[in-house]
Amino acid sequence: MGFLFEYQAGQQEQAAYNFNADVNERNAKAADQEAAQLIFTEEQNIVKFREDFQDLQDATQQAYRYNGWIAEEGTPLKVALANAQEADAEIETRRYNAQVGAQTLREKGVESRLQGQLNRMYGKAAATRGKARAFQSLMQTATAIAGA
Amino acid sequence: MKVPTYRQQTGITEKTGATMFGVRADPGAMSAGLRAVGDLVSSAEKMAVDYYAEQQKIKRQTELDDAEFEYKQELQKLQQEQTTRKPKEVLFDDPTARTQSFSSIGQQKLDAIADKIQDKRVRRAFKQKARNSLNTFTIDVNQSARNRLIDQNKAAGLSKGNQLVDDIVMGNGAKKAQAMLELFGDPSTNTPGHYEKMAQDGYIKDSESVKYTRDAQVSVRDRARQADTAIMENNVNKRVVVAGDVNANIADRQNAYTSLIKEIDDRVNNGTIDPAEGQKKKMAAADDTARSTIMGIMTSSADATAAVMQIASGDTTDPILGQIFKEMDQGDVTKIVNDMFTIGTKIDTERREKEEADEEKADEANRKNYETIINVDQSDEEAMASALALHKDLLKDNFYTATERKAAEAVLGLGKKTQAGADIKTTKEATKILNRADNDNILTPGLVDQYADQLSTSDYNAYYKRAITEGKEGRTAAKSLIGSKLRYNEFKDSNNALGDASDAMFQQSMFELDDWLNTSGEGGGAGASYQQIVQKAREIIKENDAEYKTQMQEALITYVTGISTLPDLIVDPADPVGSTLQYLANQDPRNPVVKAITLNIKNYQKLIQGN
Repeated sequence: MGFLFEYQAGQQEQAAYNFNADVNERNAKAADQEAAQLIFTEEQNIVKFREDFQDLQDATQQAYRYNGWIAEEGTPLKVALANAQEADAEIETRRYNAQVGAQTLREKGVESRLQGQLNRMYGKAAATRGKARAFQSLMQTATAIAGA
Repeated sequence: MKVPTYRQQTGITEKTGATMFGVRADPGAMSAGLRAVGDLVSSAEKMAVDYYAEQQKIKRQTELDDAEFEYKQELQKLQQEQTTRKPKEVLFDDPTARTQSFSSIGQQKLDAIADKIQDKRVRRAFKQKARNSLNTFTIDVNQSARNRLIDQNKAAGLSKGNQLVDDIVMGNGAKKAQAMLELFGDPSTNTPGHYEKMAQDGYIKDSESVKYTRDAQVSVRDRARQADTAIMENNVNKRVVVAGDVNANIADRQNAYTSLIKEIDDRVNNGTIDPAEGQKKKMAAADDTARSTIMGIMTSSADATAAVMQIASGDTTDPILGQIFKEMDQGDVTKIVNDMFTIGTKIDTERREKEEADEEKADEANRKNYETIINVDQSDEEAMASALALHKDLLKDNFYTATERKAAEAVLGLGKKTQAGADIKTTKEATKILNRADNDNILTPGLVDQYADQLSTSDYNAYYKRAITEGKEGRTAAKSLIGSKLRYNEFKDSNNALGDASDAMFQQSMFELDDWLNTSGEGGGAGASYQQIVQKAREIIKENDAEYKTQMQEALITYVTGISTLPDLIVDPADPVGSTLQYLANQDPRNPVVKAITLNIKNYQKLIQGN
């Protein structure tokens, strides 16, 4: 009868590994979602930044105009272009950072998936071990009976 | 107004987005399954190998065990067979006689079994173990064979010792001398004796040698003594026979008795028997001679007890017996006389019984002749003639009673004709009356005759025979009654006056009875019934009683006064019994004479008292 216990132990160990793998998969998906959410949130922030930056540009031109400068030529233009370059850099930096953050999260997901794959492999190995041990137990018993 | 400008707020992250994975594959867990399978395969392989090894081991062990068992069986069988072989054959090979020792045979068996074993390892193991077994068995078997060899030689030696003893006792002179030398040796020439040699050869211990030698000496001495004693006893017995033979010459008897005494004395003198034993043998020889002599005297005398009584009274004419009695102790003499008196009484009784038997035999012959006459076939003339001749013989012997004669003559046609005829049938009345009379013991020939005309011939004869038989039985009963009343049986074997008186009165009474039975007519008893005859016997006894007692008293006085061996006995005629008993009370009760007198007086007292 010992072989039955060995077999069941292997099956249960595989189930535990599979459960862990499912958890890993879920975590991977959560990481993917988090990465997507990070990109999306950052894009939202960038839109708001553009609006705020446009307000800034408008305020800059307003100031130039107030000071008697023609806002659309010469230095005001250069300043506006410099501001715009700064804003673009800001946006690109934010995007980059968001991409990096998302990449980090996706990496976590990949890690979870890898962990899940490992767990499933462990589960299969455990099941195989359970079967092997069960058969071994059965064979020993059979041998013992034959030898008796 | 100040012009706002924008400067980049966010710095670029230093992170790359790449992370260091913490995932590590566990080689143990990963390979657990394969390792387990590997273990399984290894385990299976090991099991298979173990199983094969075990199987091989078991197979070899089984083969070895079987071989060992077979070999041990062979050895046990061989061991058993050795018990019936000669020890030397068991112990040693003998190519000449083509016999093999146990060890050689065992080795042959071992090789034979080993050759059948295919497996080298098993064969090698078997040879090793079998060799051990063979050694063990060989030790046991050889030990047993050696013991048997020693026992055989010892037994042969002891047997030879016994044979030498026989040769010494029974051999001739030369053989005896040679056996003596061989058995006991000669210390003067340092020649060892037989048992000493056996001890030297190791078959017996030195102590046993001494014991066996001593036993042989004792045996030789005892057997020589026994042989001498046997010769002596044979001679003594022969001489006792001669000395006790009353018909032999007196000188020869005297010589025989003297010789036997001398023979015993000689054996005492040469040590064959000791003096006490010699004295005992002389006494036994004297006793035997005396008894033999008295026996001879008794058998040659008509009255054995009288002869013994005469010897008891000291009146013996036999010189040998007289000499022996003088030499013997008086108690021994009394015992011999007492014993011989008993024997004499038996002799006399047997003689009397023989005489009576002869008389009975003669009477029986006449009785048969009478029955032949009664049962004769009347239609056979020759038988009738023979019956008539028998009738005449019976008349000569005065055999018949009146009734019997009448019956015989009736059958022979010499007497009164009966009315019985072939045509007559027996009536019920006749049958009833006659059967009742038979039952009441009052059936008589006369009564049968009364009913002759109512009886068939066969019934007439049958009733007549029954009537005759009743009459005979009545006479027998009457005779027994008379004898009993007269105490005839107690007195008849004595030879004194009491016996004579008793016998005379018995004969007188029987004569009166027979006379009555033979008398016909009134006052006679011819044809009387059983009851009538017994009644007549009682009358005779009563009539003779007074006379008989008077005669017996006179006989008693004659008897006691006539006893010569008791000269100091004085009898008072007025009280012969009392005075005699008073005298006897002071005598030795073992004395046969005293015993005989006492017995007769007691019988006399019973007679007088009517017991």
